[in-house]
Amino acid sequence: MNGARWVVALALAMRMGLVPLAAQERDVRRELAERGAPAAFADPVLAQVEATRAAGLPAGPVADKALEGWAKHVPMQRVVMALEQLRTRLEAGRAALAVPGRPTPPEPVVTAAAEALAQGLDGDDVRQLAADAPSPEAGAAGLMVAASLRAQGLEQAAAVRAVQDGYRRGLETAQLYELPSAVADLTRRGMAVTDVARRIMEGGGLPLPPTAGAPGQAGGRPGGVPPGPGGQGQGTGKRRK
Amino acid sequence: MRLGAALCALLAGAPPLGAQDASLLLGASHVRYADSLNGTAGALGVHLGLGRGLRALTLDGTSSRFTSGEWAVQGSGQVTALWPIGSRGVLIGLAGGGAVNDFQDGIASGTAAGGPLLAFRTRRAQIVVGASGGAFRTIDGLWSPIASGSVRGYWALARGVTIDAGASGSLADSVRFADFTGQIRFAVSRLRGGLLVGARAGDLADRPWWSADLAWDVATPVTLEASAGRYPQDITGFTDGVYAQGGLRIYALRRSTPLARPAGLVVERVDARHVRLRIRYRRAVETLQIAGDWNGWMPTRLTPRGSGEWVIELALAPGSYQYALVAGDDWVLPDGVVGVDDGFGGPVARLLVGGG
Repeated sequence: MNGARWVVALALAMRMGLVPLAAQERDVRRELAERGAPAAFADPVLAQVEATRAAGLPAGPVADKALEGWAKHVPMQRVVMALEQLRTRLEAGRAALAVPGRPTPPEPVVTAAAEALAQGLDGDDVRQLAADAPSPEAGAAGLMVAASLRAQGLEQAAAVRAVQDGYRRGLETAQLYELPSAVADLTRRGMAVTDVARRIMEGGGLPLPPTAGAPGQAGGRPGGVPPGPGGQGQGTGKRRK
Repeated sequence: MRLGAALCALLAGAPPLGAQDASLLLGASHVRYADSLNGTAGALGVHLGLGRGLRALTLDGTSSRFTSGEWAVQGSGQVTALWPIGSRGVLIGLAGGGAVNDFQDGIASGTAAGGPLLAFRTRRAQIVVGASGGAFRTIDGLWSPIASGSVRGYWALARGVTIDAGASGSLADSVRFADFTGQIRFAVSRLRGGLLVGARAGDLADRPWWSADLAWDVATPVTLEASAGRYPQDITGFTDGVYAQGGLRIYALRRSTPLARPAGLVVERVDARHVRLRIRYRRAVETLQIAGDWNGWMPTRLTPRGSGEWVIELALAPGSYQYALVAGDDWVLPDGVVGVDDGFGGPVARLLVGGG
C-alpha cells in the first residue's frame, strides 16, 4: 500500500476502534491495581509501557505482557526483562516494515510483524505480506496467520504463499484467520505438514477426492470382488436390460 | 491369465521407487451373484499410490482363489493431473483410468478411458466436470468404443465428514445409460468409513446399489478393512451381485500417518460475538481455567465434558489472541497445541479466531 492509503486506512481503523492506540486509552496502573499488584511491581512495569509508547511503538502488547506476568506470579525483575525483549521485537517489526517516504504502519501491523519475525519469517517476507495486503487489518491478520502457520510447522515459503493466496482470493480478514485451522484440519485428517505445504505451494487447496478422475461409468463391481467361479456372475457380454 | 499375472507382477515387483503408498491386502470375500450362486474366495491384493501436488496415480491388483479352486485376477489404475488457472480455484486437467479382469480359462474383459477435466474448488468444496473417450472389451471378446460425460461435487463438512454426489452418462455402441451416485464418508480418530448409494437409468438399469465400508487403523502399518453391499452389472458383461469382504491391509509405505490426531483446541463460532472453545487436556485435574489477553489474563473456568474435553464460551471478535491454561498451579497448553516461550520460561499459544 502506498503512504496515502496507509494514512487513510489508519484513520478509518482508529475511527472504527480497530486500532486501540496502544495503551494510551488504557489505564494500565488501574488494571494492575485491580489485580492486586503493588506499586513495587507496577511502577517499573509502567515505566516500560511508557518507554515503549515514547518510542512510538505499540504499547498495548507490552501492557498485556505485564498483566500476563502478574497473573503468572512472575517476579518483577523477570517481567521487566521480558518487556524489554518484547520492545526490542517490536522495534525489529517496525524496522522490517519501514519503507522510506511512507508513514509507519498501524500498531497492529507492527505487532504482527514482530510476531512473524519471532516465528522465523524474514524481513523481506514480512514487508511483502504487509505491502500486498488490501488493508491494514488484512496486513495484521496476514502476518499473524503466517506466523501461526510457521508455528504449525509449515515452511516459510508455504506460509507466505498461503497468505498471499488468501489476499488474491479476496478473503476477508475474519476468513484469513481461519487459514491455520484449515491447515490443522488437514493434518488432523492425516496429511503430513510437508504435503500441506506442497499443496499450498502448487496452488491446491483440498486434497484430491478419490472420484475426481476416472470419468465414465460410476457403477460396477467394487475392486477386489472377483467375478464368479465357473463363469458365474458373467453375463452374455454387452447387453441391454 | 497372462495379463493379470503380469499386472500383479508389475505391482508387486516394480515397486515403489517413488511410491508414497504401498500396501498388501490379505482378505477374503463372499459373493452372491445375480444367478443366485455363491462364491467364496481368498484374496491377495496390492495397492500403490503416488501423488505430487495436483497429480496422482493409483494402481491396484487383486488375485483371488475360490474355495472351488478357480482363480481370478483383477487390476485397475487411475491417473489424474490438474493445473490451476489463475487464482480463483479453477483448474483444468486430464484423467484416465482402466481396469482388467482375467479369469481362469481365458475369460477376460477390460475398460480404458480418459479425457479432460474442469474443476472448480474452494477450501471446502469442489465440482469436477469431465468427459472421456475410450474402449472396452466384453467377456465375449468384443471391443467397442465408449464415450462418457460426468459431473461430481465434493463437500468437506465439519469434523472429518465429507459427502460427494455425481452423475455420469455413457454411450457405448447402442447402449446408453446414466449413473447417479451419492456418498458420505467420515474419519474419526482411528476409524474411517463410508456409505455409497447409486442408481442407474437407461440401458443396463436394475435395482439401486449400495455399499458400506469401514477401516480401523489398528496400528500405523496395519488396517482392518471390511465392506459389504450390492453392485450393479457392468458394461463388459458381468452381472450384478451382493458381496461382503474383509481383510488386513499391511502398509510398507504410507503417505502420512493414518491416525487422526485429536484436536487440542477447536474454535466454533456460536454467533456474531461469541465463540465456543473445545479444549482437550487429558491429564487428571480438578479444575482447568483459561486466561488470555482478551481480558487481561484473568483466568476463567472451563466446563468438563468428560474424556479430557473441556469447553467454554467467550465473547471474542475475529482476531488474534494469546492464551494459556491454568491447571492447578501450572500454566499449560491444550494437548497437542504447539506454543512458544512466553518470555517468562513458560508456554503461551496464539488463538486465531475467524468469522466462522
